[in-house]
Order: sequence, then structure tokens, then C-alpha cells
Amino acid sequence: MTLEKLLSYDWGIMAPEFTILIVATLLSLMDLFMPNKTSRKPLALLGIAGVIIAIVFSVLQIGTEPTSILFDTYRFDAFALAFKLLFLVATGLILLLAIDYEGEREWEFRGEFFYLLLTALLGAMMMASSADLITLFVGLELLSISSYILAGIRKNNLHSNEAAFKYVVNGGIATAITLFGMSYIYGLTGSTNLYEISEALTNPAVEQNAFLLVMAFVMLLVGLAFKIAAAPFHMWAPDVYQGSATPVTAFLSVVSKSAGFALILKMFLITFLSVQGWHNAIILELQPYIAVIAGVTMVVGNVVALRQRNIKRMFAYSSIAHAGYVLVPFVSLSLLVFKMTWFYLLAYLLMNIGAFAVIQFVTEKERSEDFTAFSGLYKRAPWVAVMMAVFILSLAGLPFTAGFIGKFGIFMSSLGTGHYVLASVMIATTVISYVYYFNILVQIFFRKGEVDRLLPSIGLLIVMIICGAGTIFFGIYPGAAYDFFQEFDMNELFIK
Amino acid sequence: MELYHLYQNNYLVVLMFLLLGILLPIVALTAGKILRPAKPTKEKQTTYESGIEPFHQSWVQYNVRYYIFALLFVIFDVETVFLYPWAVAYDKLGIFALIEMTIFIVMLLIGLLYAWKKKVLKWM
Amino acid sequence: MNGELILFFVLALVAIGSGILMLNLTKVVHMVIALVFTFLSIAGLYVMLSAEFVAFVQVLIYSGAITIIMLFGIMLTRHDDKTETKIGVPRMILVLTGIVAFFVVMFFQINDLSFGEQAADLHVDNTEKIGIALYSKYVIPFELTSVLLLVALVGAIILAKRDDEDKGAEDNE
Repeated sequence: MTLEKLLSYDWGIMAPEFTILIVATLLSLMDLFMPNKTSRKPLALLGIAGVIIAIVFSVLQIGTEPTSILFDTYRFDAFALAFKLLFLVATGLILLLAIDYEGEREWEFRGEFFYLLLTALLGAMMMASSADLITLFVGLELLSISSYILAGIRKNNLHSNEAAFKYVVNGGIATAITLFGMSYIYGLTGSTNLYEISEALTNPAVEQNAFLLVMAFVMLLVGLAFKIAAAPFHMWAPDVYQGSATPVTAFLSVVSKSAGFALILKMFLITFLSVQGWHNAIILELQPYIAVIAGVTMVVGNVVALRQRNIKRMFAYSSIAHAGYVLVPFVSLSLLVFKMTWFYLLAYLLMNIGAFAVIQFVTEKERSEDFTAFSGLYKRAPWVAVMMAVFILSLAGLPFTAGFIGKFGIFMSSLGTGHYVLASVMIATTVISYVYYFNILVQIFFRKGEVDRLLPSIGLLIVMIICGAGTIFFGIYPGAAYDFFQEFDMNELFIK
Repeated sequence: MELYHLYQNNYLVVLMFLLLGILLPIVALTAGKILRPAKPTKEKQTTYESGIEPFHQSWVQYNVRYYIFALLFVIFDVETVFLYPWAVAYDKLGIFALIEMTIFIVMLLIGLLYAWKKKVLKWM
Repeated sequence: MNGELILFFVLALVAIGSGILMLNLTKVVHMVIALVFTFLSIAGLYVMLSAEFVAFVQVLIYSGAITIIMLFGIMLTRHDDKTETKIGVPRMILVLTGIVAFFVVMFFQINDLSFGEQAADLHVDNTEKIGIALYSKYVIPFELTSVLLLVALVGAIILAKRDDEDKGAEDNE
């Protein structure tokens, strides 16, 4: 290869990634040379500016033909772009949360806090826009390692230490399992490129070893199920979510999880869709097992959430349950799988980050993470209370909210493909979830608490307004999001 | 196949050295044990601490700073590993290999700068 | 039975044996020594598979750096040799059946694995080939790795740095 060949690639297509990388590097340097006592908040503003620039670059790229750089180690297509937009918007909102995050005790490493969020975002973006196992894995690790550090960054908080430790150990095991699965696929096909793998897997010589393929599939699924916190690999989530700083919890539950879903959809649908197992296509043969994972995740998440008193733990279980819902389209595999998943993740992004903004607001003011901290919130901060009600109704999946539309779409697609059991599990667990969601609402509106007025800071207020408006807007006009999604031609994913 | 056997035979030397390295202390210590007279008394079995009566445990807890150095060492070690194939293949690669490695090293220099500014490299 | 097969069995035996020893020894330092033997014999297996460079990395990173970090970890921590709570018998049996089942299944599958033609000259210029692939085809993951290492370094310092260090330094000045 020559320099000319290397420069002939369309590197401009990587503009969003370059922006994030450059801003993260700049932030790290600025943080180093700033005086110790200076506030680090301007750094976060710079980070947000970087994210907005990256969003602008991404939006300008809509409609661009699929582009591949260096043998698909970077690959731009509609699928990548759609998911990258989600990550970028979510991280922008979370940075806004992070500006105002104080924590109960003073802690250093504020600057690192902001740029580690950006490097984690970079990892997530690479996971969405590559078709090579090596890049995908490095992206996954960049996201994971940044998250481990973010979870443990408040060093004087014991819960934070516990969270980081549990996350590192569990995450390391999950990574090892994923890598083991990948190594089998590489061994059988001799390639790390997803498209070449999918071609090689249909080769009869490889098909003889269908069983090893199934094992590889299962190991990959186990490793990635950890990333999205699906049962039975969800045990780390409550402790990590509880111990991390609230913006980090929001990041883990939204960006990290969406990135996991992007990777699952991409990897499994490209490589395994046309591959034969023993009798049938491998993905159909394993469908019952994935369905069991989805069902168990919904049940475990919602039932255990009933017993939680710590609000962050409760939302950890709630986010486990939501992972179960998002797995349903992957099980039913209708033609709408991307549309349903993407819309649900969008709705989940808005309502969950919004809810975490309110949680951060209340837990900081009350210095308590018990859910009784919310009591009397309606009297103390009426607009925040109404906003929280919107997020919770959306999370519970009631009409006129984005959460409802997303859940309804997933439900219909599972009925349409004949997964009646899964659909009924979904309904049943949704009803269970009403209990704990409404419990919070009861605290907010009907319990008496303190009487002093509370005012959220500007950053939190912006996040709440954006998320609240989005949740209601997409609940009433879901067409806006669906039309936007029509711009992305998901078939590009399958064109080599 | 010829070449492959040659390659394997090369490693026989490595194996020999490895075995030699393992066997040498074992043989020396066992030979010493067989040859020396063994008449243990209680006095003899205590730890020798320059003539002073031994007190408390021999275990000392090290300073946590050592650990940071070890961590930095591992990370820079991993970086070095990337330099070897680069150096070996340098002639066959173009000028872009130099640019790539420059970017790589610069990222690591930022890391070193970070360690320096955070006063991790300073002992006192 | 040729020399290659004997060597393979010796290396595999050392690797697995030291692994089991590591789990069953009581002193942490002994565990690390057992681990070093596992690492070294795995490096030997890589050499047999014509993966010279990987073997070299295995020795450099695992037997070298990782072992050192473990020894430092041991020196830093207190460990009065107390017996830990034992895992219950039912759980032990459950785990054992799981492992044995996995082994049996994998063993039989790998036993009838069929590949066809195999490359015979993998050992020729092994490092150079890796270099060419890494710096022409895998440029993007390589540069991403540098970010990953930077993040790891920052994280190592954040998490391992002592809290009172800064304050102490200010007092001295």
C-alpha cells in the first residue's frame, strides 16, 4: 500500500469521530494546564460544543452512499449514522447533567470526568460504524474501560469504589467470553471482516462445523448480554448504577446499552442471518433461547424493582426491564426490527435521561437516594414534578408518550410474527411495572414532605425541558421520528 | 516443510536454555541439602536479623506508589510491543507508517505528560 | 508419536497443571509462580503454532509485566493467611458438571473439525507480516488503541493515586 492509496479513501466521512477525538484530546490537555483551583465547568461546555459539531457533521451526512475505509475497518452506512446520532444526542444531554453534578462530598478529577465521557462516546461510535471484528472489539473496550473509570471516579465514596470494582471484574469476564466467541468465528472463517465472515460461513466446509458456530453464537450473545444488562447477566447493574455518579448512571443505562444493542444487531444480522445451523437458519434455531433471555429479563427487572427503595437501584432494575423490551424485536425479527429498536432506544434515551436529571436534582437537594426523597416534590417544585410525571408515565408506557408508541410498536411486531407468549409476558410485566412507577408518583403528588421551594440549575432545566418536550412530541407525533428514520436505508447494512 | 522444521529446531535451543535455567537452582539447592550436615536447634532456626532478636513479621507493606509505577510500566510495555512489528516492517511500509506511529506516540506522550503533571512521577 | 506431539503434551500439561495449582495453593506468591508457568507454557504452544510474535508478546506482557503487577499487588496488601469461606458442595458439583459438559462438547466438536488446506509457511517473517497488516490494513483500530491506552493510563492514575498526596505535597512546599 502507498500513501496515495491511503489518502484516496474518503477520510472526511469520519468527521464526527475526528471531532470527538480532537475535542477529547484538547480537553485533556487544557485540564492539565489549568490551575488546580479553577472550575472545570468551561471544559464541559467545550465538550458539549464538540458534540454539537459532531451532530452537525452527522446530520449533513444523511443520505450519503455507504462508504468503506480500509477494508471496512471503518464503514459508514445508514445503520451506523442512525445509531451514532442517538449516542451523540444522549452524550450531549449527559454532559449537561454532568456540569451541575456535585456529589455529596468534594471530589477531584472533574476534568477527567468530562473527557472520559467523550472517549467512551468515541468507543460507542466506533462500535456502530465498523464492519471488522478488530475495530468493533477495540471500540467495545474503549467504551468499557472509560466506563469502569467513570464508575469509580468519586474515590472517597465507598459505593463508587464498589461499583468500579464489580464493573471491572464482571466486565472483564464478559469481554473474555465475547473474545472467545470471536476467536471461534475467526478460526472457522479466517477473516475478521463481517461480510467476508458471512460469505465464508455459507461455505459447506464450514457448515459441517455448525455446532462450533452455535457455540460461538452463544458465547457472543452471553458476552454482549452483559453489556446490555440482560438477565441472567444483569447482576452487576444495580450495584454499579447505584454507586456511580448520577450522570454516569445515565450514560451507562442509555449510551452503553444502546451501543450494546447496535453491536448485537450489526454483528448477528450481518454474519449469521443466512447461516445454516443443524436444520434451519442458525438465528431461527436459537430464537427460542433469545426469547427466553428477553422474557426473563423483563420479569426479573420488573419484579425485583418492586422491592427497591433506593431510587437509583430501582431505575437500574427498570433499565434491565427495558433491555428486555428492546430484545423483543431482535427475537421476532420482523422487517421492522431496526425501526422498532431505533425508535424505542430514542424514546428510552429521552425519558431515561430526563428521569435521571430529576433524580440528580432531588437526590442532590435532599442528600438521600431513598425514594421517599421525592415526597411532596409537587409542592416544592411543581414543574419538575410534572416533568418527572411525564418521564415516569412514558417509562411505564402510557398513551400520549414516546414510551407508549415504542412499546406498542414492539408489541405489535411480536404479535405480527406470532410470538404470542413473549407479547403476553411483555403486557404482564408492564402491568407489574406500574406498581413501582406509580409508587414514585404517589410520593411526588400525595405525600407530604419538606415545604421549601426548590429550583433546578439551568443545565438540569435544559435537559428536563428537551427530554420532556421530546417525550411528549414523539408520543403525539411519532410520525416525525418515523419519517426521519425513513431517511436511513437500513438495507445498506447488508450491501458489501 | 523444510523451513518449518528448521524453525522448530531453532527453538530447541530456547527449550534447552529454559530447562537449564529451571534445573540449575533446583540441582544446586538439592545438592547442597544432601551434602550439608543438618543439626537444627531452636536458636538456629530463627530468622537472622543482624544479630538482633527477631521481632514481629518479616512482611512489610509497601508504599502504594510502587503500584502506580507498575501500572505505568504495563501500559508502556504494551506500547512497546506495537513498536516491534513497526520497526521490522518499516522498510516495506511507506512514509505513512511513520505518520501513524507519530500519532500513536503523541497520544502516549500526552499520557506521560498527564502522569508528570499529576505528580505521580515525583517520589517525594 | 513424534517429538512435536510429545512437546505439545508436556506444554499442555504444564499449562493446565499450573493453572490448577494456582487455584489450590494457599500462599499468594506461590500462586503467581504457578501462573508464570502457565503463561510460559502457553507461549511455548504459540511457538509450536508458528506464531512467534504472539509468543514473544506473551512472554513480555504476561510473564513479565502482568506478573510484576501481581507481585506489587501482593506486596501492597495485607494478607493474614485466613481460610476463606468454602463454597458449598452442591454449588461445586454444579460448576464441575458445567465445566465437564463444556469440555466434552467442545472436545468432540473440535475433534471432528475439518479445515482442508493449511498454510505451511506462517513462521516465515512472522513479525514483519504482522507489521505490514497492522500498519496498512488495520490503521484505524491501531490508532484507536492509542486512545484506549491513554484512557487506561489516565484511569490507572485516577484509581491508584493516593488521595492525600496532593495535600501532602502542598504542605511540604
